[in-house]
Amino acid sequence: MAFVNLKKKEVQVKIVYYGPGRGGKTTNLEYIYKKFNHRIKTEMVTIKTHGDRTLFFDFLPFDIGKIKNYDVKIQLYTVPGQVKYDATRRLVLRGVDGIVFVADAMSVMREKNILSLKNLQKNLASYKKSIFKTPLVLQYNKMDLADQGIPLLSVEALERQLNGQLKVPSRVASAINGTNVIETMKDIIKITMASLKEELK
Amino acid sequence: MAKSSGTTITEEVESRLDDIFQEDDVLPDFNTEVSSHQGPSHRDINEILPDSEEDAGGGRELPAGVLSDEGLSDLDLTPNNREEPPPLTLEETPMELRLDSDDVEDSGAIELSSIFENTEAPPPIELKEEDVLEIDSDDSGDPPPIELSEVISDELITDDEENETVVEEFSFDELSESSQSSSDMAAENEEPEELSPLEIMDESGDVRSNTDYLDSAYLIEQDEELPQLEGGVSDIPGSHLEELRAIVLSIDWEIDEQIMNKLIEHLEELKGIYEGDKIITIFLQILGSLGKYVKVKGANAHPHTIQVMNSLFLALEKVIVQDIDETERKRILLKEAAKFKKLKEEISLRKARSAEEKEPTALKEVKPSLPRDENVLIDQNKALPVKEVSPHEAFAYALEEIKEVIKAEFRSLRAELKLWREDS
Amino acid sequence: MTYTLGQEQLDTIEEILEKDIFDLGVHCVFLIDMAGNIIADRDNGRVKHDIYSLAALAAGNFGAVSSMAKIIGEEEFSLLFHKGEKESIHFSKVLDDFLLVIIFGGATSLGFLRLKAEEAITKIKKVLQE
Repeated sequence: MAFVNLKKKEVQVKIVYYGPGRGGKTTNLEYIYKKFNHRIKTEMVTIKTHGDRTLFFDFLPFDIGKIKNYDVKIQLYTVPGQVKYDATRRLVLRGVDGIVFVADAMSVMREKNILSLKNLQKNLASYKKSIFKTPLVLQYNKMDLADQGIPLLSVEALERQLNGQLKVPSRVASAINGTNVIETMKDIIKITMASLKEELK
Repeated sequence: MAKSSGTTITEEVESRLDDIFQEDDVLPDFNTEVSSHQGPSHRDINEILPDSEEDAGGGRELPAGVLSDEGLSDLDLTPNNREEPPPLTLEETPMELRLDSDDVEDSGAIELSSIFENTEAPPPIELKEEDVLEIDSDDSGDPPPIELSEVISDELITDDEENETVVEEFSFDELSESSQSSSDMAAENEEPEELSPLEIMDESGDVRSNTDYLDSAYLIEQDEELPQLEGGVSDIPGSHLEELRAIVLSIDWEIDEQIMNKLIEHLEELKGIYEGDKIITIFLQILGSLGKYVKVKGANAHPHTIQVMNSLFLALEKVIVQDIDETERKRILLKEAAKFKKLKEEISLRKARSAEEKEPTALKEVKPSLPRDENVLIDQNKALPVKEVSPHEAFAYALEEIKEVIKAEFRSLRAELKLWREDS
Repeated sequence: MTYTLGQEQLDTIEEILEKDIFDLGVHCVFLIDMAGNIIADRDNGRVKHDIYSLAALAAGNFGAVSSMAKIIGEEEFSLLFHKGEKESIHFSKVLDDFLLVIIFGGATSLGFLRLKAEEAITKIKKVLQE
């Protein structure tokens, strides 16, 4: 639930990048930060362990200006993807408004993607939220690896495996190169903001 | 749902986002076809589905809105989920853990610590008068300049019993005579260490002073660190200060009635132990009155009280434990007493100000509570008749009141110092 | 966690922050929800902290500490405080869903601050429960 401050005319929107470990969630945020920090003028905060894995979350806030007379503050978070960090993942998910599910397109990651999506559903349920009613976008990441001959899941397979029931917007992407990173982010912000339209009247 | 209004938001959002996130470079493309759904404005599965079919492009035929068996075998998100395949339980997936040693991701993001270190240096702290003194800056009553100076009173709370602690009066002349000839007094002014604030006071006990140096020292300290109590000096065996020290430390963490009572009781004990030492006795009295004040006022106490209390305790510790000469001891006492005096002024100013604030709106409500509050600071016998005074009068009265108390107590301090001198 | 706060509630909360906490001489005080959203804030104009990041981290940190408390069999910890050389942070939970964060310097006594915070929280609770 986004917090709408009627007094300051301000909305804080929480977008969480979810997905299996090493799938590229942090890379998405880093791309946005590196590419646009001169525009968004905010700092990215990351909490990592020694091995460069996300320990708690990454956090990238920025303003997008006025929408319907409200100052909109977008806050991008990532969760730690590793299975063992389920408790922290759940914490970060608290109060989420929109989710980008970053799937890893490598063939070997098929099960991990599915498990992570199930885990998302379970954790949302702990906040009494349905995955079907929460703004959600899928991103099939690491498409660039095809060039290196690494076996990838086909888009059809990914759609079938992950989006068969959800039927939400999806994009292939390469977070490391930035391909479709911004598009994915725009998608989720648009969908999330639209879902808030009742609050912004 | 009214799709039109949603679309407007989406359009607005889109144009905002386009303004910010314009990618100038051409990004590498894939052989794989890049599908790009434009997200529908309202996330209703039934609305999304047709869109995604349109946008999906070749090779992305989706089963038309119905769950295929194939889909189920891949991911079943239906709430009454059948059974998860046992090898895939979340908590123990060996594959996931094995991946830990891989190094796929790269970290370019700024680490937490460096972010906070890199934030620009805070501007130099400027002392604002109102921060420190809480002097009423509005021009309402142009509060008389505080010239109480030369003030040492050890009681913030007075009641009849406690008045008995006042030591016999002593005239200023005697004190100065005993210490030095009056011709030396001018020179004294330039040597603040030598108790000059005391000795240049005129007979009326009023204004003349050079305690400014004390005040300004105090002002600086206001913004300094709270005196550190850890690792103090009172490690001498048999020191009576250990418990007091523990109590003062506790107060630094948590203030409640129990600990304040403990403080007050313990100070009384110490008074007995140090009965013969006038300087220590005065220290203990001041600490005691601060303790009582905090106990009575609780969260409404002046924010600087604990600070003054800590400072007094540290000074007391110094006076008791360290081997310093008597002049130095006196100097320390005077410095602390000046802080105490300052605090009292702040408290009275604050009170006068809050009375002023309350007056226009809710004088009637204030009345019943005022007398009790006032008694905390002002001698009951002279308690302010609150009924029909204006805030300005109240302020002037309170000031007079405090002057009186202060004068009396200062006289007693001088007397004590005198006595002490004679003793030694 | 759905909640709406009206203008009047926000005004009252800001007033409480101002009068009960800020007047203590603290550097910065803000009320956030557990999702890391800022509900009300006040600073002394001298410190320019990135309160949005602070809020996100404070919420995360509080969640982590609460989980730690549960693991060792505590309902919750009553004192959540980080002491720095110049700046310190104090957290207090307000109802189940909110957190009061106070940033203060060496000139403020923790004991006294806790006393004031407790009082302010009682008042804020009333406002939030309206």
